[in-house]
Amino acid sequence: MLLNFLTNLSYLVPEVLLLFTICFILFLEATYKPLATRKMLYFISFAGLGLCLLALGFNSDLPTSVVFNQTFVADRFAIVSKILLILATMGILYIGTFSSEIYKEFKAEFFILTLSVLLGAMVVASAKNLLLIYVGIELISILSYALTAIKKKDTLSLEAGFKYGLYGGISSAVMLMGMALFYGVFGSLDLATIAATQTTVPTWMLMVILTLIFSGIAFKLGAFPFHMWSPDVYQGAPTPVTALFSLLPKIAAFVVLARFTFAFQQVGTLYPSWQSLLIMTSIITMTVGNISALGQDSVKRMLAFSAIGHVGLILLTIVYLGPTSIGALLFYLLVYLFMTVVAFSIISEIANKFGSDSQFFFKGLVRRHPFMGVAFAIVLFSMAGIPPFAGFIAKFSILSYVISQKNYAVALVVAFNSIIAIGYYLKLVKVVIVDAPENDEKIEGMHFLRQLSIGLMILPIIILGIFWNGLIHLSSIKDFMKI
Amino acid sequence: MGAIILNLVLWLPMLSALGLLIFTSQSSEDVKRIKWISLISTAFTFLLTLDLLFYFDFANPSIQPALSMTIPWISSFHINYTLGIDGISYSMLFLNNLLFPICILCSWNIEKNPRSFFALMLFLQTTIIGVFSSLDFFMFYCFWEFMLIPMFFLISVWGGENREYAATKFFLYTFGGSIFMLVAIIGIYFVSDAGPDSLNMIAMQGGLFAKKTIALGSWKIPFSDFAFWLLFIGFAVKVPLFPFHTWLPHAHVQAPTAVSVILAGVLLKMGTYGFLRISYPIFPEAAAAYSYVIVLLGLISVIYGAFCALAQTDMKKLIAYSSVSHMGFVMMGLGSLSTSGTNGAVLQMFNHGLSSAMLFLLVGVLYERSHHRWIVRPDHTLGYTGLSKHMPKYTIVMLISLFAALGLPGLSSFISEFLIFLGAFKSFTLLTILGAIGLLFGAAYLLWMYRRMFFGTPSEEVKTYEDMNWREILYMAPLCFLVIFLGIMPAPLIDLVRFSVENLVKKFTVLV
Repeated sequence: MLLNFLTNLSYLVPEVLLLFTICFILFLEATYKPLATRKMLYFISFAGLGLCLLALGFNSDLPTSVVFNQTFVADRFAIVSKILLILATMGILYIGTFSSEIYKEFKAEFFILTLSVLLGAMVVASAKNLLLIYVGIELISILSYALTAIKKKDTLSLEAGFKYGLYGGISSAVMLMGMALFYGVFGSLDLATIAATQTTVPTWMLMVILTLIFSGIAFKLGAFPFHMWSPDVYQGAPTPVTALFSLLPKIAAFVVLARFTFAFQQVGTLYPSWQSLLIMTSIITMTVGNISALGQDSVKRMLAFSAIGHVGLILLTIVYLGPTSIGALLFYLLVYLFMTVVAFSIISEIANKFGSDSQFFFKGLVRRHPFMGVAFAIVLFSMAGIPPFAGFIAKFSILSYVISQKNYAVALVVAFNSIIAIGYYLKLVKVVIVDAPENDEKIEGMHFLRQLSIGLMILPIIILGIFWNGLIHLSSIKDFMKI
Repeated sequence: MGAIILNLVLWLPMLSALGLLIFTSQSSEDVKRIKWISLISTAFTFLLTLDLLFYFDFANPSIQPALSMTIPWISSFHINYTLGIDGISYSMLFLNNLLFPICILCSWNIEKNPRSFFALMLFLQTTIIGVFSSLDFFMFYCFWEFMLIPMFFLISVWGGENREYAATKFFLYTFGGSIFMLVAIIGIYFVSDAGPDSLNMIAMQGGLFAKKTIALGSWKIPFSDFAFWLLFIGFAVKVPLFPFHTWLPHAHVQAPTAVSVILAGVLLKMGTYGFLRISYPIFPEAAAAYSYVIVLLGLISVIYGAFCALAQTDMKKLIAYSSVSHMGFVMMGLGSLSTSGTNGAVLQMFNHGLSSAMLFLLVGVLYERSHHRWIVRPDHTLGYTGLSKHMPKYTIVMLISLFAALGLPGLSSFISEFLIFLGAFKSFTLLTILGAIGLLFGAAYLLWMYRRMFFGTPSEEVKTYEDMNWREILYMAPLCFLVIFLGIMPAPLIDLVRFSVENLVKKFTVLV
């Protein structure tokens, strides 16, 4: 038994390393407080994350298997999504280190909480047992509530944390209810049983159960009708935390959703209803998100709605799950990751300087700080899906996947949504590039090394838009995904 | 070698644009260098375009083998880097690369951030050349879309008072149209199922999709209809065909002169080129079934554009509506599905490119002196009077452009309009007759504008204007020469495009 546990543990090395990093920071904060400087913590977390990446790289050679009593999947899909999660966390820590909202009052808390959210997300990315999924999602959620309200004296931040906690609690309860019913029907919490068990329960009843579970995941995604929290939380939370919300929980939730769908694919009667649930959610989510984004003044709030739009689009890859669509999903997430980190770095810089993220302060940004202005414009064009930026390829791969499934009606909906979306992106580009600045005073503070690092993050947005041959077909490896 | 030169023509402007970015200061020395680099780069591109003719086989009706190349790009999606030109695309490349050095010259005195302006112009040039020379759908789409970014900034930063509204409207309309085009292109890829050729424009031609149907919900429709109309939206916005034309007057009025020239001269032709190269040969059955609709919409554009132009008091707006009207003729020629009609349409694309560019340049010349464009001011007084007495050189050039635009025999547009009517008369007699009446209105609004501006006694204000200087004469001269030369001797142009047109018409009349 112990030996078995130890062999299984080799699949868990990245998570364990991450845990050690978190403990180490905690220890440092508690005992040698003077040592726990901003730079030091930044260095330690990056080193820890780097080691995690390395361990994941080694793990990718291990054969795909399910360990720990059939609860923990170690397939390539999990590894790739964990790499995405770690990259995203690196980006978030990078933003956090330079954000005065964070470093003025807090040091270690932000790093500990963020890394713990990552731990939860990594657990979720590998989980195939409902209990483990629940534990992982709760780990993400509860720490997110704390992160949202981290600015203890800011009413907006507190309000957002409270709202998020309230909504999140309810949706977790609903999900737990669905999981309990699932156990009642199938007699197991393992996702794989759904394919194996012949149940006499009618499909509609199963769909009710799955919808309950889905609502918990949809809450993490910010999919309609569980999207209400995201604008307030995006706006209220400190900017690095906002970046976290738009990446970590969403990536984890998409991975879980993909695993669910993968399990249902084998169940003939259930799959079509599940698909139509996903399609309906996707269409309504993107339409609601894009239309609501049109009239926003706060840039973070606008990006919250635009994220809802993106989520709706990405959901389409889950609907007809196959190797190509998983490739499209991972590609989209990767591109979205870079775009989000760059966008929030710039927003954070502006928020530091002016204490607000209203579009008013972005006026004529290109004249006050040419680098930030151009970088922001590139990110916005990429998000809107204009070639030759990677955002276009991401959208293209999803659109082409939908069309290859002969679903032209949905493709037209996606097209209409792109047109709505271009409206608000273009408006912001206009504010940044064309509008006259309030004054000609240059914005100080972004020194050469930071420009270089942001430049390096923009590079993939351009390069992936031109050379995307290998990446998009990453997922056609055999046994890429396993239940 | 020919293919290498074609590549050079395509990428040289973009490389020079990137080169301009090294000038960070705004000192007058640097500005001078920036201007000269842009001018030399565009002029050199034009010379290279002429050089392409040495590799050109006029008897070859399809894509020139010496001037085409294919390199695999994204193999998993069968996307290739495919360049290639035939007579039709060459005529457009020639027009484009001729107009760009002229545009650089006409914006010589630009004051606001010249580095960005010229860099964006050069970017724009590459994207337009890309649209006309790529034979891969994906590449075509990328260039088509990327073109929006320089255009948006050129209009919204250097435009008139209402520039942001105009630029946004332009962007939204074009993007809205082209996203449907993207759906159609991906549809072509999956429905044709032709493996490595699925995104090649030439391989898809000739009615491969005749019997394919798709389901839209529970609704079964032929794929060719579906894709034809999606492409139609994308191209018709660009042409612009009634009822998608409303962005054009705003964009023209607000854009700086050089951008107006490119917009009217070349960008509009991208739409008709799309019809000619993609919609019609790939979906001949839809083209035949809906030819009446296309001709009718073309006719409405002709008449409606002409009526709108009659009512304008702003010179640029008047010429913008005249573009709507003249591009309507192109659509009538294309819709006629006949060889002479299509020939006429291609010639009209070229000739309208010359004449509208001339008119916009001349408006720009006048605007530099007076800083207004009113024919009739809002208080009902004339904006200009008696220009002919005070500015004789300007008057002569203006007369040539006006007569070229309204299709006077002996100038270039006449032959193309004649061919269009010849082609369309047989199948669409009534519509052709109505179209000819539209031509009459064309003469009316242009001549009326001329009478109001050029006759009468010069006002005090007009007396202060200088006549055209050497720089302005220099860039108007080649255009004047071309419209007169092609009016008297259209044979070189006709020879260039005739075989390519016949080849294409064969493909889109294959099922008729």
